[in-house]
Amino acid sequence: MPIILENISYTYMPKSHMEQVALSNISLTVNEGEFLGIIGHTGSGKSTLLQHMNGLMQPSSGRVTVDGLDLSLRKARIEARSRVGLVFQYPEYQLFEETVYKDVAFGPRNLGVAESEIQERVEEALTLVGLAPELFVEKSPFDLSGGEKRRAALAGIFAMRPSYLLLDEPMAGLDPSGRRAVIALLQTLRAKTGCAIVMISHFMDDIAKCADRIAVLRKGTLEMADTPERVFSNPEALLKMGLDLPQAAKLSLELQKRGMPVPNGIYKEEDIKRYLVEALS
Amino acid sequence: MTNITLGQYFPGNSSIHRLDPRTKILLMLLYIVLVFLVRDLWLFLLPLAFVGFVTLLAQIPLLYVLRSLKPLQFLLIFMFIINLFLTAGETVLITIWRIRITKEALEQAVFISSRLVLLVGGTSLMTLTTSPISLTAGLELLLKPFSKLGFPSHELAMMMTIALRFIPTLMEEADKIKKAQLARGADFESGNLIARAKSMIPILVPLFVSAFRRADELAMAMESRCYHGGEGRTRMNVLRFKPADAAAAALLCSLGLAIVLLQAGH
Repeated sequence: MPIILENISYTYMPKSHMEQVALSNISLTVNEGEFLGIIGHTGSGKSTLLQHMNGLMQPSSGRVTVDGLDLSLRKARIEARSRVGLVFQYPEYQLFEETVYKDVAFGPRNLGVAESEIQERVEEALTLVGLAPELFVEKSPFDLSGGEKRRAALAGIFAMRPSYLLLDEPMAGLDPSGRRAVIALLQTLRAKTGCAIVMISHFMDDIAKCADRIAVLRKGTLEMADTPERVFSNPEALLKMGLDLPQAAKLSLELQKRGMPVPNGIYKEEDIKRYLVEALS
Repeated sequence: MTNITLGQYFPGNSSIHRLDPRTKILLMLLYIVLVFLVRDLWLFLLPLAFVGFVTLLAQIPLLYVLRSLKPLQFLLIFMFIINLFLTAGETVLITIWRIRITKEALEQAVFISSRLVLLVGGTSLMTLTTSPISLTAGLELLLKPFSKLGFPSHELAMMMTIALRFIPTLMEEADKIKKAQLARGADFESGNLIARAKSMIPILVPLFVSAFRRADELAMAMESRCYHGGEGRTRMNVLRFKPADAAAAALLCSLGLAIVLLQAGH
C-alpha cells in the first residue's frame, strides 16, 4: 500500500504577520518500491512536503495516509514512523550516543525490537553503509570523519527497516566520490529490501540515474509528477524554475541546437553515450 | 517552538520605535521610579495614561502589551490573594467563616496588583519597540563610562548581541534535531518526569555539540576579520539624541513632577 497525499496545504504561522503558504493543494502518491525524486528551487516546499509523509508535520488541510493509516491520528503517526524512515539534511548532526552501536540501535530500540534482533540489525545496517561493524561499533560517533558520520547516521535509519525511506538532500556537502557512494548505497538498499525511496536532491544527474518518477515543486505547488523522460523533455520549463538539467540532457540539447538529430527525452549518461557511439560510427 | 518571542520586538517605524535606545532605557528606569512613587491608587491613572499614549503612538496592538502580562498571571493572582487576606485593617467588608476581608486589605491588594501590571506593561513597551540589537547598542553606550573602571561594557554588549543573534538559530536547530529524533521513533511525551528528562538527551547532546561548533566557527570568522575588541571600533549607525528624545524625556519628567506635586499635600 502506498503513501497517499490528498489535496494537502500547509501554512506557516497562520493569521500572523509572518504568514506564509508553504504547500498548496498537493496530491501525490508514493507507490511501494518506487524511487521518487523531488526537485524544486530552494524554498519551494520540498522539505515541508517530505515531513508530511511521516506525520512530523500535519497539513493545514487535506489528508495523508501511509498504508491506509490516517496520519491525523496520533497513534497512526507513531505507527507510521516505524514504516517511514526520514533522513534529514546533514543527518550527522543528530548523532548523540557514546558509541556508534548505541546510536544506530536508538531507532530500533524505540520501535521495541528485541535486543537480540537489534544487534543483528545494527551489524547489518553498518555493513550496508560500509562501516565494518567490528571496527566501528565501539567507536564514539564524534570521533568519526565527516563522511563516516553521515554513513553512521544513515545506518541509524536503515536499522529501523522502513518500507519507505525519505531522504532530504542526502548528498549535500559531500564530494563526488561521497555522492557516488551514497547513490550506490541507496541502490543496494533498494535491491536488498525493496523499500520505496523518496529523495530530494539538487543534483539532477543523481535524480536522473535513480528515479522512476520525478515530482517538481514550485512555490509550494506541484508542477509535475511524471517519468524522468517526460520531466526532462521540457527543459525550458525546468530552467525557468531555476532548476538544472542532467548533463546528458544538456548535451543532447546542445547537439540538437547544432543540427544533430538527437531524439528527445535522453537524460541518462549511458543513453547519450550509446547514441553518440552509434551516430559516430 | 516558533511562538517563543524573546525580546518580543514588534517591528515598526513609529516615532517611539525611532527614539534613541538610550533614551528608552533611561526613561524606562525613570518610569519604574515613577510607578513606585505613586502612593494613591487614583494617581496610577497618570502612568496608565502614559502607557496608553505610548502604545497608541507606537502603533502596537493592545493585545501585544497585554500578552506581556501573561507569564505574570499566577504571580498577580497570588499577590492579590496574599494582600487581600493578610493585610490588617478595620473596616470589615465580608466575613467568610473566620477570614475577614477588610476595606484596607482590598485597597492594598488592588494597589499592589495595579503597580505590578503597570510596571510590567510599561517596561514591556520598551522591548516591544526596540530591536534587541539597538537595545544592546544603547546599553553599551550607557555603560561605556564604567569601562574606565574596568567594566567590560563592549565585551558584554558583544556577548549579548551574539547570544541574541543565535537564539533563533539554536531554536531552529533544536526543532530540527527534535524532528530527526522523532523520526527515529523517539518519544518525548510519555513517562514520568525522569523518563522525560532522559528523553531530552538525544536533543541536548547534538544541540550542545553544534553550539560549540558554531561558537568555534564564529570566533574564527571574527578573528579573520580582525576583530580585536571594542577599542577604536566605530559604528555604522551612530546614535544621536534628537528633538523627539528631549520631548519624550520632558513628557515623562512632567508626569513625575505631577505625581510628586499631587501627593505633596499628604
